[in-house]
Amino acid sequence: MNELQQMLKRQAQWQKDRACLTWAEKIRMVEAVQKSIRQLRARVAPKGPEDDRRHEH
Amino acid sequence: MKELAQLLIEMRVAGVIQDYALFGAVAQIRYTEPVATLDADVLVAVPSSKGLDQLGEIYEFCAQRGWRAEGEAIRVGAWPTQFIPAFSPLTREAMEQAETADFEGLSLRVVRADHLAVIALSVGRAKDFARILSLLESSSVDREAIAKLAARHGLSEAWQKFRKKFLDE
Repeated sequence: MNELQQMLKRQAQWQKDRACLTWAEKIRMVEAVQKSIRQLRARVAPKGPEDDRRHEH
Repeated sequence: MKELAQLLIEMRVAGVIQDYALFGAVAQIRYTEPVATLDADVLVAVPSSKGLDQLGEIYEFCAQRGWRAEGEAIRVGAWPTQFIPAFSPLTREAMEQAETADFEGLSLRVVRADHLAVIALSVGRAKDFARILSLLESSSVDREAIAKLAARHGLSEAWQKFRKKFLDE
């Protein structure tokens, strides 16, 4: 197994290990990223008909 | 989430709901790696006297506590929360047989992994199929349990299709 494969394997294991955290800990992790997701969604979502028309020109 | 746990306890005590259980991604997170989600989904049973307006009293109860409607949901703390009446035999059973989990000292009822998988199977979007795979990978449910539950709720064909497509059988 080359170095890259080992790194990917370690990364997958690291992510899987998070399943063992308590439910409350995992929920807190999700709450921590919610704000960023909302901001990102607000940035990419069209703001309304006027905004759409502006993009057409 | 603590605000939601507290609200659900109060709703039950006040008789606004008879029973409830969290499902969807928030429930999934109990069994798997955390997944990004913005919403909380709650199955509810309301007293039979409520008739067609099953959710009216829930909205009113939330508003009295400062939790406002936001689209199809009610924003409770950080969580836009959808209250969904347990309308089908599958969702009713999932709610009735839910487990009680501890959330920072408060009790929260959460749908079991097998019910979660079969509800996902019944909905059938890509993210629902991903949920089933994630639950299987975490060993919180096995194929036999899903097959059995799916058969009881008329979803054997959907389960066969899922197995063929995603489990290479």
